[in-house]
Amino acid sequence: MECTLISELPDILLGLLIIIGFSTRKNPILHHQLYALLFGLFFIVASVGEIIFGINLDVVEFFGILGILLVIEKFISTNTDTRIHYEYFLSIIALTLFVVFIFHDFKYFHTGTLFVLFILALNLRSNVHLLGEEIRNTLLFSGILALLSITTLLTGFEVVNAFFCLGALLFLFFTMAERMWWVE
Amino acid sequence: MNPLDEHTLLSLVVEAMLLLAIFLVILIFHTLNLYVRRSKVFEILQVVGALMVAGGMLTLRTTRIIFSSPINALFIVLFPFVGSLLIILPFLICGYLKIDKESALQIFLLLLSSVIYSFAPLHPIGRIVATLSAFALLSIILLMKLLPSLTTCTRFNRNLVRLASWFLVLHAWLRYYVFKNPQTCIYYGVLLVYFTSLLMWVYSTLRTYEIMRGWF
Repeated sequence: MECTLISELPDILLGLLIIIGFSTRKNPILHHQLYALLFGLFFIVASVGEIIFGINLDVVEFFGILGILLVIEKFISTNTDTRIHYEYFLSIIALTLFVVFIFHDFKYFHTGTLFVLFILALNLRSNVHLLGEEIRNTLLFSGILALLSITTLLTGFEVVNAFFCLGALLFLFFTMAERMWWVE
Repeated sequence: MNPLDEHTLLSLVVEAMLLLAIFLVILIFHTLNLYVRRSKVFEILQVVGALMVAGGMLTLRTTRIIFSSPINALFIVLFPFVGSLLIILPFLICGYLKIDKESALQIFLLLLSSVIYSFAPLHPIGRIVATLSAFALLSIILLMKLLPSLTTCTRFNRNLVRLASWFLVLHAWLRYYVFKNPQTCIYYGVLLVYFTSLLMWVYSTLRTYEIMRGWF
């Protein structure tokens, strides 16, 4: 079953998450990164466009979020004196293209966006000392929900996929919001 | 009922999230060791209660028995109803549940939402079932209210739980559309409100538990 509004809700939330990251000084990763502002806005506009006009922009969204992953990878590599894991990008692109090829449908580029979310949550978790040890489990939970979201999308459960995707993003959103504004 | 349709899977996911939240609350109070001597009995009763709530709600949601056989639904709804009492009673006996003005207002609004079931396209017994199942929501609100009383619950998580409880009240009022438009996008939208509320609750309990583990 397809419910466009429910399916696009997670993408709107993702856009908001990126824009908030851009606008607040307390977020060291995305603060004043022009790329983050552009893609945050794009995610919101594209989702609204998909709801109103039914245009599928999952391809652009996928390559956009890869850019966000690169920004985060750069932040981690600078602060931990490690190299950027370019192999993540190659594997995500290869896996996504494979899925799109198998299903012959561009909407499966959304799987790539979910792969990025999964890697992003687990990557932040393995470098949790940069942001605070106490967010370890919430990031793990976000990663698990992203993985479940991929599984349900591939098995054709579109509404369940949207629910899991929203869960993964909400957990990421709350984790970041709590770190940025509410640490006592 | 197709065992692998979207609606069944979604019901499973939502009830699993509810179980996770309840178990986390039980785990927090187990860690705090705040129970009286009968703690083991209380904990077992609460776990059984949580399984009864989740199992009963899952059966009601997946079989849609409220439409086909309201009398059987009346029997099944007793599981979440009794389960809710089993979860809440130990906390009431131990005196951990305090009802402030906001909680009282939420409980009042939640009970008031039962009025709308009289307009739902249901058999009269089905309306009683819908009203009784709203009591499971009442127990969830009461469980949510336990968290802010803990010192390990941060201001952010306190506010998040408050928001989650208001989402639950909103869900109670929107449940009319669940009965009016079963398995449509509106139905899934109403379920999303409930799921979001549960996610907020799970996040807050998980974070509170994490902070508490750091203390002990």
